[in-house]
Amino acid sequence: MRAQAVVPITDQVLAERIVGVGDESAFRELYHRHTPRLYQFVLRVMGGDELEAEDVVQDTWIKATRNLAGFRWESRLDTWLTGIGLNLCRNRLRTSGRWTDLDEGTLRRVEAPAGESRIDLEKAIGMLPAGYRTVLILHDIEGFKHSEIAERLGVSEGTSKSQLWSARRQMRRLLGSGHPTTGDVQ
Amino acid sequence: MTDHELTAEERQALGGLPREREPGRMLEERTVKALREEGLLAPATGNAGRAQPAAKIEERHRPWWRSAAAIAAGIALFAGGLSVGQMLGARQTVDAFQTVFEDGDVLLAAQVQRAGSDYVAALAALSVADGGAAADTSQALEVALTALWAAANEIVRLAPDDPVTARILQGFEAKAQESADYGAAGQLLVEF
Repeated sequence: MRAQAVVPITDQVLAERIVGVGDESAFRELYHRHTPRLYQFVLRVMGGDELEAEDVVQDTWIKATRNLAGFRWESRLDTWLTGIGLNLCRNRLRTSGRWTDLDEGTLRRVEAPAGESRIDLEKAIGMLPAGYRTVLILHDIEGFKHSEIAERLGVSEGTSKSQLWSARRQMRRLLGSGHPTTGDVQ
Repeated sequence: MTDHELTAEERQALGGLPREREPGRMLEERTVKALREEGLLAPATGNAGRAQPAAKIEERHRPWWRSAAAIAAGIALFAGGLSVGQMLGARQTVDAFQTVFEDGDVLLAAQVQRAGSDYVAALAALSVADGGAAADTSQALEVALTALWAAANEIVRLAPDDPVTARILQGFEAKAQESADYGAAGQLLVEF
């Protein structure tokens, strides 16, 4: 079999095609590059609701494409998309009454479903209150620092830390006495 | 270490969570359609999304199952006549086609209908064939399903909101989710 020469086309070049001539195939290429990661992130923040997550991902792409001409490429495109997706998640959660402002400091307890003594990690994360869950996802899964989380969510670093600790505590309770293992991971 | 910190076990478990997941196939088409309606993408043409140079790049980034399906669909076309005819049995899909293929494209619609009839006839012949080897039947079923999947993907480009196509693709996606061993499945498709 003959090796296929791969011509790297950067995100920026593809974006310029979209902005310049509305190139659909350039959009599809960007979509395929970045949607799987964006979708997984949004799906977690939305607590595992696939339909809502797909709506958010669609809105993210629409908003991003509208503003693509103004994107200055000082950060990576996927970072920018994640930021847009996060804001849209928060708006949606807030509109439906599922988001409590993080600075309120209210400790909300969640219980494992009746009859389930131990649940898997992904499910436990999905059951956390939206604010805790978001901070935990950003810090412990996506690797953001508290300063970055604070900036993205419009809270203080102290709030980000306290929310993370509460999130971890709740997650441990939901997971029962055992620690999560890779076998718990979906 | 305080209980505020993650244990090594917890860190490993969180680090092992998947970072990517494919959404439903319909989402791409829904998004493209919405962007077209906003004027952010050029209006659709007969070969939307394929003729432009970037389409070649997209080919190289295709997940295995798209490439494998394309190969299998090509074989099916060569062997017996690939078709979307079976899909045309659904009334809403017919409506979608009528919307897309107006007046001047009646011949194209008829061609699709003919190929569809061939596809269905080939499957019917297979089901009554006597003494066929089990492996052959299995292979033909694989080709038939792959052709159906490929056809549904073409239809969804034409009619992103068609509920019949959505159900078919959701069925395929559910099946793909169940199969953890993508490599083995890909091999099955490419082998014959």
